[in-house]
Amino acid sequence: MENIKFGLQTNLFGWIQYLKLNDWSEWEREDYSNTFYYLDWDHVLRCIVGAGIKGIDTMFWQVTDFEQKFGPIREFAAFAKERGIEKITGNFYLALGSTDRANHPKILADNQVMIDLTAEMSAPNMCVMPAGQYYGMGPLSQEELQNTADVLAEIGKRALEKGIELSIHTEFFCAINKDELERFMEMIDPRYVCYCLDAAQVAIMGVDPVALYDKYHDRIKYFHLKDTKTPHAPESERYAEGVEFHDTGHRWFWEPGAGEVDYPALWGLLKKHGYKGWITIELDGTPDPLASILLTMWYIDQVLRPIYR
Amino acid sequence: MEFGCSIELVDMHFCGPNTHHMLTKSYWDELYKLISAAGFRGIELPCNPYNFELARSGVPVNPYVMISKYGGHKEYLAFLDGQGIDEVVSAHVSASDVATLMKFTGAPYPLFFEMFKGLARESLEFARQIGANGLVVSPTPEIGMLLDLMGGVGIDECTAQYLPQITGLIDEIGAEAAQHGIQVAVRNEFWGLLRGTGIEDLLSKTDAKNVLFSPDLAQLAIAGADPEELIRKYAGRIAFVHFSDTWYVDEWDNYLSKSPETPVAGAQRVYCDLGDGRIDVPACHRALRETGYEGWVHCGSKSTLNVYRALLKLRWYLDNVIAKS
Repeated sequence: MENIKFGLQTNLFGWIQYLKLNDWSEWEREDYSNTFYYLDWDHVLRCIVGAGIKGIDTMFWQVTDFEQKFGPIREFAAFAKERGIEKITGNFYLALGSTDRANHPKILADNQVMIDLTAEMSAPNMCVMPAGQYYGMGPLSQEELQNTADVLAEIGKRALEKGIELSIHTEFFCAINKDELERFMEMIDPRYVCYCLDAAQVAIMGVDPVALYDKYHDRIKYFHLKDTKTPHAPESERYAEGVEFHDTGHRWFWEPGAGEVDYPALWGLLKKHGYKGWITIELDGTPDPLASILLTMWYIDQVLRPIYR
Repeated sequence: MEFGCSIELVDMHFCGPNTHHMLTKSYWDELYKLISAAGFRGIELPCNPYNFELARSGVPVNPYVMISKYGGHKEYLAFLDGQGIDEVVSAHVSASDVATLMKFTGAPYPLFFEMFKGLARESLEFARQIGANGLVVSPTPEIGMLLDLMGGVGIDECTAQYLPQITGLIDEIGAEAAQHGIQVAVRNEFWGLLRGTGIEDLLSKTDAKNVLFSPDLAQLAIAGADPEELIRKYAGRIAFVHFSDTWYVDEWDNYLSKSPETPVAGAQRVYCDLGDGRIDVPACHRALRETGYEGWVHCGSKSTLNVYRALLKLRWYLDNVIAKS
């Protein structure tokens, strides 16, 4: 019995447009490329399961897109299960504008919609980006941080009522950045809110993800597994407008093991603290989804699992 | 007649390898060069401030991007000029984007026209800022989305409720745009309430000067209309023509669904690269020429699987088929 199971955040494929392509030859005959391999959930899910991954995470826009195109999201969970996905492990959403209490009613209403959809998928986790980008917002005052912590506690309480654990996910460009992170960690209500450690995101911020986990392991209950070759990005980069999609095309995120995050050390701590649960592989930014998935699984099998599994 | 390129060539719902790169400014910076290299000096841009990814990326679809990624509209235009694009000919706004947002936020149907008016005005301002002389408006969402938003009414009731209001709104936007020297033209997709010849009802009830018709060949053909016939019939009231192509035949009444451009049953590939499908594009070109059309024709290969190849095929088709037709 393994302590850690792996899921995949499916945003690396973009907006998967079809539920199931009925006849590949309709696409192949004029194209002769691999593009249509990524057009439908049916084939994408088969590839994920074929690589040995048994869980998936979704982005909120995928969930709403699915509802619009194919029907109730609970049917997606069944569709995925038929293809070998054991569990939809999580969903991702936002609390933009959370620093201002005037925005809280709308944030709560929008998050309630997403909590309900996440519950329909029977996903046990919902990650939330707790505030907007640093540009135009930061640095946050103590009051603004508290406002964010308060609304997240309420979202977390509502999520818990549906059996969902709420995790905060701080991006390297988020208003809650290097200087705010630990203060904010102390402010969140651990009864209702935990933290998702995205090692690459915090490394780009200039925070050591290994040390952060060791210090806050009791609050860190969810993980995003990806790497970066550019840790400690300067403030001029992190605080720039719309920096996630870098103007130069610079790729922020890489497969685990391909960057600077000390994953063997982190795995040692997972063992030390006895972590049990799902970990989500994130590969946004890859030019080649399937190669990135397989490279990640190789790294997990050959480097991480020998440390702790 | 001048030929431009519709940015619809790039599917805004990116899907496949390198999907994130398509959201960066660098992708678009290069694409402008390639559009220019393919011989297109004018482009049409969609306007969509709602989409989460597009609103924070380098995709040139809203005022926010122009400011955050280029420093402003003037700077964007200067940048385009440097890449070899002379002008943004027109912007495109769609009621479909409003319906999608409403579905997502749970906004009730009575807010629809207020929201669409807001988006249309924002798009008008976007068009004005980027120096476009046209605003192409898709006046209805997908029929399936609209029926859903209206809470299960039948299509006849839906039509009876929707059309008078949208007709009034389009007239209003047309008049407002004219004050800014911007020409409004309506484009009817195969999945909208005004599909095919259904657009004639709206055209007959709106100001012929302020509201023109933007025929999209593939959209009309899928809806069972004859694009050449409509071009001839509405000569003098046409602007921002879209040359597009398809093999698709809607045998399953997919046009009634909430997601008609990604069918579930039967054939699923709705659009194809220009020149590869069943549309008699040369006949439509002849009709435009013979009726004295002097405006822009935007060429596109919507949902192409290979943007770069599609661009070169567009140029080849114009030079070797259309020019000789």
